[in-house]
Amino acid sequence: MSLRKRRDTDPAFADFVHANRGRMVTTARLLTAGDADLAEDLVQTALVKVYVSWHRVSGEPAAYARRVLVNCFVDHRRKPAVRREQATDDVPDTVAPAGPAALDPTLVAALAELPPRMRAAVVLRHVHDLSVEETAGLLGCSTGTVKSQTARGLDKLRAHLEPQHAHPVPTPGDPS
Amino acid sequence: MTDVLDRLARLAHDSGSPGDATVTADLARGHAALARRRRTTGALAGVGLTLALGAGLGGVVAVQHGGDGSVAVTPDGAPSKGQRIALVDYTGAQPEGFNLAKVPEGYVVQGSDQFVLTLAKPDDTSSYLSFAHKVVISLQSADATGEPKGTAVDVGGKAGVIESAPDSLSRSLYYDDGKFTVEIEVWRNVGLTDEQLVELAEGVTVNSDVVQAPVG
Repeated sequence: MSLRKRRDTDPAFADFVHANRGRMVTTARLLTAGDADLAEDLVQTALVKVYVSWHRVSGEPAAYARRVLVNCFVDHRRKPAVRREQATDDVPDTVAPAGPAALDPTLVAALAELPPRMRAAVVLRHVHDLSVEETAGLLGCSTGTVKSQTARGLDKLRAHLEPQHAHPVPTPGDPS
Repeated sequence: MTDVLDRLARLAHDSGSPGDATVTADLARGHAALARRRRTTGALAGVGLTLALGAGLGGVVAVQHGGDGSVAVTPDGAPSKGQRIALVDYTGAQPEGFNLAKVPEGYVVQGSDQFVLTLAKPDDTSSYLSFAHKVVISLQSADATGEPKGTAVDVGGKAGVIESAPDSLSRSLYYDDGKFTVEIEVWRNVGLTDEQLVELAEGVTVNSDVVQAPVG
């Protein structure tokens, strides 16, 4: 990229970052189940890849950036040091806030209980409202896998969240 | 289940627009990645221009002109007489790995990274990575292709070319300093003539350590 091209690219990229970084951070925090540091690392890595490929990015750079971010997340999970991480029953006490409005901490904690790819399928399908086909494309799997992963993911989320609903706050007039 | 879906949908909010410092950092990381990629992949076709402001001490600057900013021929794309500005001796701190002998009067080193050095007016609050209306010095990367077309000039005994941008908003001087191809881009509003641009270039010394610096 020549300096002159950089002169043209940098303002456009800066505008893109201004407009989209917040959403990328939210996505990353959901994919990482509230790990703010890892989320920031993933966003930074994704933005570097987007910048390097900026001249090839056509159409919707936001969609391209989301694809790159998901790939970064998947690649991160493939690293040996990460694969050695073990799931735990202990749910984090708190989840770092994601900007002005904190993410739903209980729900994010429940997302942390899902395997990473299942979590990603749920986030892409039901947070970002992507189609089954789009989600399958991003995750590099079949549509059938997306359907089964999201269905099982939602079941797990519901099961994790159910205890809260098992003890509803009594309303005035309840016979209890 | 519907409640879970509703709660998931509500997570799709924006975490807020990043500050300028964050955006600048993202840009800098992008620049660094480009440089790393060039260094890794070797010298192939491409059009990259980078200024390496590596570690190390600056070299000796050979100032070959006086500091009066004499005005020479005005080619296409050069400023009119009313826009001309003087070159003055640079007295500020030398950027790391890089020396300046001259700057346009009233301009300061606004910022630099491993790719680029930007001169701007002191009251210019834009990012140093925003190049409009400034003087921008960089090194051409090894993978650059294509020959600049324009006015042939002599830069301290070395051949150079001043090329006007298609939109005529800026001109770039390309010259070989013996180790690198240097580009100095000057926006028209700065008011430097071609001769002053050459004089500015002759006061630029890129430290030899930049080759080993982590940039492309």
